[in-house]
Amino acid sequence: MSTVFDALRLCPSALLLRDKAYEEMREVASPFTKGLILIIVVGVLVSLVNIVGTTLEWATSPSPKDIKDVVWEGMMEMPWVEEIPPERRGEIIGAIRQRYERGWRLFPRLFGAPHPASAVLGVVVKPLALLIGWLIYGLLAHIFARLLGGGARLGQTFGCTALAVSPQLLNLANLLPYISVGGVVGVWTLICNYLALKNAHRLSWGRAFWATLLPFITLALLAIALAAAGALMASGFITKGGD
Amino acid sequence: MIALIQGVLTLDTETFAEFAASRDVFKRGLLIILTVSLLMGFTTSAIDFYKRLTAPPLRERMREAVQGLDEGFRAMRQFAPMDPEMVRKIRRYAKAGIGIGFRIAALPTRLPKQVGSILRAVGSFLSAPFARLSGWMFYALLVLLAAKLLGGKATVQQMLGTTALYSLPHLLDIPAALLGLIPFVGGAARFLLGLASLAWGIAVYIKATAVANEFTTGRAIFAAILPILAMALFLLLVVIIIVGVIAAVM
Repeated sequence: MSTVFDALRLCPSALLLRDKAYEEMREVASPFTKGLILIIVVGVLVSLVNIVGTTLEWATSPSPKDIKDVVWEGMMEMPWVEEIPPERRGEIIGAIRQRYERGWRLFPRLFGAPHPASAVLGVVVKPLALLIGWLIYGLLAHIFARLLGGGARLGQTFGCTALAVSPQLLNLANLLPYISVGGVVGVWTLICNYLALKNAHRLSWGRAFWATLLPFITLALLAIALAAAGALMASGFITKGGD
Repeated sequence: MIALIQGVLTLDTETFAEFAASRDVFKRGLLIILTVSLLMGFTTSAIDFYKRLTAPPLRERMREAVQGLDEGFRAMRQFAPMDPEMVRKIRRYAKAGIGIGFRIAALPTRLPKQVGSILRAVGSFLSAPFARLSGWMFYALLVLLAAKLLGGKATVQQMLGTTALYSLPHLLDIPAALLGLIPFVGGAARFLLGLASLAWGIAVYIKATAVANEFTTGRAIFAAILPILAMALFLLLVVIIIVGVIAAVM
């Protein structure tokens, strides 16, 4: 338990952009382990709180099934129904209804309709997503920081960038439903990552800036390249299929 | 605190310089922007709550919405002739759409409706500061980058902390929102006060950028508008590329 509290201790300072929090993390005995614990603890905390907020939102919202029926009723009152020839009306409306029902099985979940079950799933998914993001970003940021003249060890980079998970604590506001934290977590995380790399590698502002952004640029380019390769492969399959 | 507010509102250089050099400048700026946002949020939430309390029942509101639609059609017909059959059809589509919205609002929930209304009001009240924070942080970062390229000396903490002071003139938005409740003249009074707080806020922002970066006002203005110019240029480029691609394909 003391390890958990110890990991969380630096979070408020890191959130308030105090350089000494990042400097302290740089100098601890095992920054990677401490960072790893921090990421998991924050992820679990935030998702546990989210279960309460999501359940309250679910309990104060109409059920998707009721909404689905109301929307269908409304659609049937629209003039397009009368424009279908009467002899084919039953058949066409039946086909539309089938697709409509299929869509409603998928769309509410896809667009974030609140459900306690999906919030419970978040206890596993959220920490895992934070962990994967931290490992990939930390590794790339370390490579770029070293290329730009940084002097930290890999563990120190991981330890300091783990502190950039602190803005996720703003999501604790989701204990109450209908609160939108919005993009502030992303922007704040970016600033924390900048301070983490600047302090861990003792870089100038310009070098720290590039070390912070280059991992994102690399990942974006990689995603574009993968999408392009996928599109090329798909078009190749289609052409072959056509032959 | 009163001295700080007075110094900021009168654009006193010494007040800005002391604030920028203070320990934990980011925390101080953050607290100011949070307090202003919560005060503003409290006022607008109270007004919304009052409007909800005095709002007519759902059925009446639906009738009013359809009536508003009919009035809109009548006004449009004065400017351009419209096919009556087309108007009838659009009216039926719109009426069905409005009906869907109101019927969803009337659907039962697992907890009593009042619980949901209170939680929604609290949610919108507490969400306002987050929205303000994200806009302020994102734009301050862009201005900091522009300022650094122009030779600015501010740290990220100083830039964020001092530019947070721009929120102080926005305290005027509170009386503006209350004035808006007065029939006939309230809207105009609200608009004028809103305009004053916006202009004052921009002036404070530029002063904060200048002091934090040890700049002249001219450079600070340039740094503050450079992100907007860059974004506009980027958008223009995207539009030109899209138009070019469409032209090439056609």
